[in-house]
Amino acid sequence: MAVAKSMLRIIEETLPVILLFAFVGLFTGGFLNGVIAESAMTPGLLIIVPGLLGLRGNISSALGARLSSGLHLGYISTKKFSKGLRVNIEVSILLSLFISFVLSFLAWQTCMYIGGPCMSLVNFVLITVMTGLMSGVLMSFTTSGIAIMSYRHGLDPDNTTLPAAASVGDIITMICLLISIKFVLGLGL
Amino acid sequence: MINTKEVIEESLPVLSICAAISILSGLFLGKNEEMLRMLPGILIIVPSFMAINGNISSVMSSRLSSALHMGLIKPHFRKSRVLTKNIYAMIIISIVAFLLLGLAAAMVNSFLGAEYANIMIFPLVTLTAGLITVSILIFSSIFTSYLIYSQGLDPDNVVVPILTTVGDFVGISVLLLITSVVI
Repeated sequence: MAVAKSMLRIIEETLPVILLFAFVGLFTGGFLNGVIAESAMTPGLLIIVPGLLGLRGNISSALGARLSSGLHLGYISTKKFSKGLRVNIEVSILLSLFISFVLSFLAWQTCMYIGGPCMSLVNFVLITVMTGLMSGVLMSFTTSGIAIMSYRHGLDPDNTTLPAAASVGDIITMICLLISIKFVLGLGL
Repeated sequence: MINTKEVIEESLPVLSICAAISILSGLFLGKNEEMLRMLPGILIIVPSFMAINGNISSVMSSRLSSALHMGLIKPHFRKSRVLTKNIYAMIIISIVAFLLLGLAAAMVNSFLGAEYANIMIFPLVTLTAGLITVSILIFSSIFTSYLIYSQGLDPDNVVVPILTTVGDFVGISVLLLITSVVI
């Protein structure tokens, strides 16, 4: 009996969040469909999609966790743009930049390896780094905003920031990817 | 106080490993581009499918870490109540979530007017692929947590990022495999 009861509690507390994520994911999927429509002109692009989504998730959730700790410990203030906050945002943007650079090289190598049609290394780097940087900047500020607002309203940012950042992060990344593709194709390199 | 250089030094290795593993997931997507182009409905469910897997494996891993830290379970492969309870809960959650995802995808696709022989292919694909993936992930989560914990490391810092990335890879390959079998 005890087992069934506590099992029910895990299900009750976890299922709604998971369903919410799945629902939001369908919108991301709609954008992904838009990406593949473009990808006739950018062959090999699909290879970086899981990497970009994963990168955004990892960096934003680490940022959310650090901001929560900072707010709890008091070295990040809810009133002014403190040094702790600045450094955290800086770190996330720098990491996005580094990792998307690494990602674009790996993706280009992989694309060459499977021998399919591939866009040029320049296009890989431009599209990936532009997407990583744009979504990095947008998500760093969004995550900080959610964390600070939560703390101001007496909520524990640990519980609110991560799920909120993860669900908007995927959509923002896909939108940034679509914009970057359009931009780079427009450059016509 | 937080230091830019320190955070970057600590984060870069894990993030780079995750980036490398995620390229493998991308490889699978890239290799099946033709099939995905022919079946646009499948691509719509990819992010949700990955999100459900990621959530289930991270919830499972963080619950396991806490149970290990509190001494509720020991890192040996033996039958235990805490473990059974967690496994059953995760399986029930996956059945509900993947079934609903499949039905939602069927609805979206019939709404968009996609032409499929049978729209019920979506719940079939998501449920089969989902349950296979979740079973693999539950096992890997237990295995990785036990391994990391018995090495004297904190599973909280390592298991979640690794498992969500591995989960994407396993999820995408199983989803594409099941799709090609069903079609």
